[in-house]
Amino acid sequence: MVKISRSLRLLSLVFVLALALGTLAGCSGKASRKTILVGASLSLSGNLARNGLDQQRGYELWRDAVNAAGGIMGKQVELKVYDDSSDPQTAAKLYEKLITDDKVDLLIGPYGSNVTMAASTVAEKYKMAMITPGASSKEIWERGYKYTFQMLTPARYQLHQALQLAKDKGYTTVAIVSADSAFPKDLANGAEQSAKDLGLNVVFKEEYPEKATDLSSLVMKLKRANPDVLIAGSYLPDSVLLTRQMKEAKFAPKMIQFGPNGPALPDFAKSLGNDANNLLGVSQWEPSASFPGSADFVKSFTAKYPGEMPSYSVAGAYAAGQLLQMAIEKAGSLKQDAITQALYSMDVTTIFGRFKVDETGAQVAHAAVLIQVQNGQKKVVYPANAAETAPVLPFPGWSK
Amino acid sequence: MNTPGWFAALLQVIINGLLVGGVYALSAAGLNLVFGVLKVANIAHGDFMMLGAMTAYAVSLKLGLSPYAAMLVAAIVLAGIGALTQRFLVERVIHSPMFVSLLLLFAVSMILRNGALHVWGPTYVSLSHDSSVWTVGPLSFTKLRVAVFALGLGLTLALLWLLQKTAFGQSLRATAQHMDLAEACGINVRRVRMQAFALGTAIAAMSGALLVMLFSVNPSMGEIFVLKCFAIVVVGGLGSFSGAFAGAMIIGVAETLTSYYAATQLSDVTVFLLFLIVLVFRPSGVLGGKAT
Amino acid sequence: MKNSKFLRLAPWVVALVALLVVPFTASGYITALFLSLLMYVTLAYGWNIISGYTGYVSFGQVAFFGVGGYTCAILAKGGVHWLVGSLVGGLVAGLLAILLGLVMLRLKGAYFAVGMLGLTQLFVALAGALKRVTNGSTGIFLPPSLTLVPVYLTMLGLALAAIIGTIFLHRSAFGLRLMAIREDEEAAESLGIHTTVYKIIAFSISAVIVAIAGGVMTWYVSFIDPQSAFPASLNLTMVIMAVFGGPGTVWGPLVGATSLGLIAELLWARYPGLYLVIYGIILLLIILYIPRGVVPSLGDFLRRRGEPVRKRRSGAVA
Repeated sequence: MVKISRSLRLLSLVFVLALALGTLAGCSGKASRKTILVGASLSLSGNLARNGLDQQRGYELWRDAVNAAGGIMGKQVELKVYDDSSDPQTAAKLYEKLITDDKVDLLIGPYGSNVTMAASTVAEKYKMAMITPGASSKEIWERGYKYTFQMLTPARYQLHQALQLAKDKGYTTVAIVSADSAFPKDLANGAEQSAKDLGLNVVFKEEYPEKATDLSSLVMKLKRANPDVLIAGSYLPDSVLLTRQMKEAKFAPKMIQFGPNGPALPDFAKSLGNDANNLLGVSQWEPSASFPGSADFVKSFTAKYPGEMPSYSVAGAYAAGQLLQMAIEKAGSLKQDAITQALYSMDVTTIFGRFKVDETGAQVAHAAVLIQVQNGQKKVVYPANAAETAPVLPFPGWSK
Repeated sequence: MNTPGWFAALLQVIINGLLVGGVYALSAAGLNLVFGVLKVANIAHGDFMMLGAMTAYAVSLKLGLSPYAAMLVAAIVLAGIGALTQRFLVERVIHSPMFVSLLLLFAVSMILRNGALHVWGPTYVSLSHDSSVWTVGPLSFTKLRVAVFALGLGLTLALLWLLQKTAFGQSLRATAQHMDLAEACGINVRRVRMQAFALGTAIAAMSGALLVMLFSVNPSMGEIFVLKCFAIVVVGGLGSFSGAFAGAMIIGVAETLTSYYAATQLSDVTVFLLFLIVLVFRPSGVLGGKAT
Repeated sequence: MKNSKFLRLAPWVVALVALLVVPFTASGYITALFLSLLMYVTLAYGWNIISGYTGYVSFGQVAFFGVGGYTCAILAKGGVHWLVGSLVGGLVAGLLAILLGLVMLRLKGAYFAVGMLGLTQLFVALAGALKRVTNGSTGIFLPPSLTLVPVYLTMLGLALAAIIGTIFLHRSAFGLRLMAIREDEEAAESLGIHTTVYKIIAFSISAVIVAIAGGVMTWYVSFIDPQSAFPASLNLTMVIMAVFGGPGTVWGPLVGATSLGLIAELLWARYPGLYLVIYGIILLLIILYIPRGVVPSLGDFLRRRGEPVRKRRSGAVA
């Protein structure tokens, strides 16, 4: 029984620690601050860390730009970013911390639909507006939330233009493959719907494990299905793997179209070299965009990260900050309800493009573009009004 | 000429499976060696592969070495890291229950993975890929994958030779079978364990360096491969090299067959079902018989 | 005598009252933090029964976390109250554990540990493939719970039940038999203990505890998919916490889960880029320097300092 009394002491020690932590945490107050504190959690470790990092860079570039221009309503902006490792439960806890412990004035969203799902619930609970540059699954905006705002073209519409292009070219059969997680599957289901709406024939549809190490059998089945168009909803590593194994199996349909995590990302062409040529991707934004401020944004990015080009995630995150600023200035205050009202009524253009949401907070105005890797360079090829050049179609075959 | 289509497809699927198996064989060999000699389940194995991959990539890029030369550099570097890990960490818990070393290596895995993330960032990298193909009738073989397969087979044979025919192998086997007895016979078991672990991480590094040619990888790649490696080693029989090679082939073919004739998504189900069935009903592996 | 008993219980009552008022007085963050600590405590106790007491070190109890989570999500989607859903999840996991235990518990040592690791992977793959049941990789979306209080109180109750259950287990004949299995299974068998039955019961109890926690957390997050149902990090975290505190002890899991949980919390707030590296280093040091866990090691330390051993009624000694 000595054990018990000893462990009791231990236990009380733990409690004292915990309570001390609690009181410490409660100390920092909002009132005493002279800056505007903006908080977010991002996936900075784990599988999706690449996208999280991009978003963090975007937030930081925005902060620097705002502060250099005199801040928001005369106050400097400060950023508080945590790592949620793409875990929804951790993200929920972190947003609780940001709101009730760090007492941030403003929130911005995390990366990934699953994580955003959990984080938006917390934002809703505390009635704080949250602009989400990293989420496009429709379920998030089907829950009747009032404080979550979408920036990206919803996943289910992202491939619509691709199928429109396929139809323009007179292709008739489509095969759709996707990784088996929420976002790629959303893309794939949207593509299937678009194909049906446009009168195209979906001849093959299948999912593969997100962490697949071999897709040779899938490619063989694709070859057997012999579609005109291949649509792939994927993440980066499987985009690269699929491309290589298609080349190895000499599978060359007339059009090869990825979602946003393929040719649109700089790492894709870097990994594949010539094999990336003539593949199509979807991009929410491209450095060549001519929205007000885009060129300056690209310049400030390349100055800070020489040798790199900003991806759509960086630009989206930067624009999320811009939107917050616009909403605050329109509302004339930092009150969350005023900011929320402003966001609902805004129809504006940021460096990322147009922003306008419906009554659920879902995005209705932002337009994605199709890009194609041509001679190692990423070019916008569709729609016509944004295109830098015409798409190379049909796919001329794999390089030697 | 007159091969029916379905038969050619079946053959191609099996060939693809064997070629994937070659990748797995190489990846699992190091894990198997460490388990066989040290009786330690190296859960950080995938992260040693990752370090090998990233080192090879960095060396190849900075020094302009060919990917295969970079592979050797990575193997040497990782042998050193492995030796240090064994000498200063694993060795200290070698006589503790097995789960202690497993937790220790989990901590090592956390440090390596997140440290690498800090140093290299989460960017995906890949070395130049040769996707040229040999064609035989209706069948095709990717050259690079054939090379990886040959390396996997060669390495397995080399390890078997090392174990059976050399003095070093004899001391490895003795340590594997009975540590205390081996020590009593005058074998420096501490050194043998260190050599075995270093050899294991060096092999992991080589496989990682090859993977960086086949896949696009970043510091999180370890988690994708480590559990599959465990499945392979178990299917082959823990600690048996010929078994592990067979296990890799079986897993590779099972994957491609499932993907082709059922659904791609079910390939993981097949792998881990096979793993459990073998573990429970044939714990000495599909080849059965003696381990190491 | 009454008086001393009261004195002994007093700190517990204070602690319990403090824990009960947390969700009503503390900030949302502190409540969420305590919720996660309570979850760690629950999981560490669940793991402790099969692995700490019985000696079957499992690296796959998170499989039952996911089973509980999915059961709760599916039932809640069908209109069942989440609390009922979580309890049914516990029941399902318990029965499943009996079936799996018949097979898995034939494995020993490393084979069992690695086997459970593989079993978890099988569950992840199945959750993705069985679309009709789990809605595959899209996952199941639940109506969000905007208040933390019911979830928190449920988890508190579960953690308390696990702790009190362990206190009784530690003193019971049943617990002794589990420990006999841990020390020497063959000897226990030869003494007439039906080791298979006892092992399976322990495995099943452990699964029930872990699964209920999984159900409650799923309701809290209001979303489940194969990745979030079987979080690989949680799988090993519960082992580390129990081992740090002292596996096979009554208080080890509590000490391990709360202290490591708090350390992790302090680290990531201060070093967002490096906290997992630092956490890994801390784990490494713990495993190297206090491999038996804090509770037993501290016990030894105090004994060596010559703390007087107070006399107690017999029977209270485990």
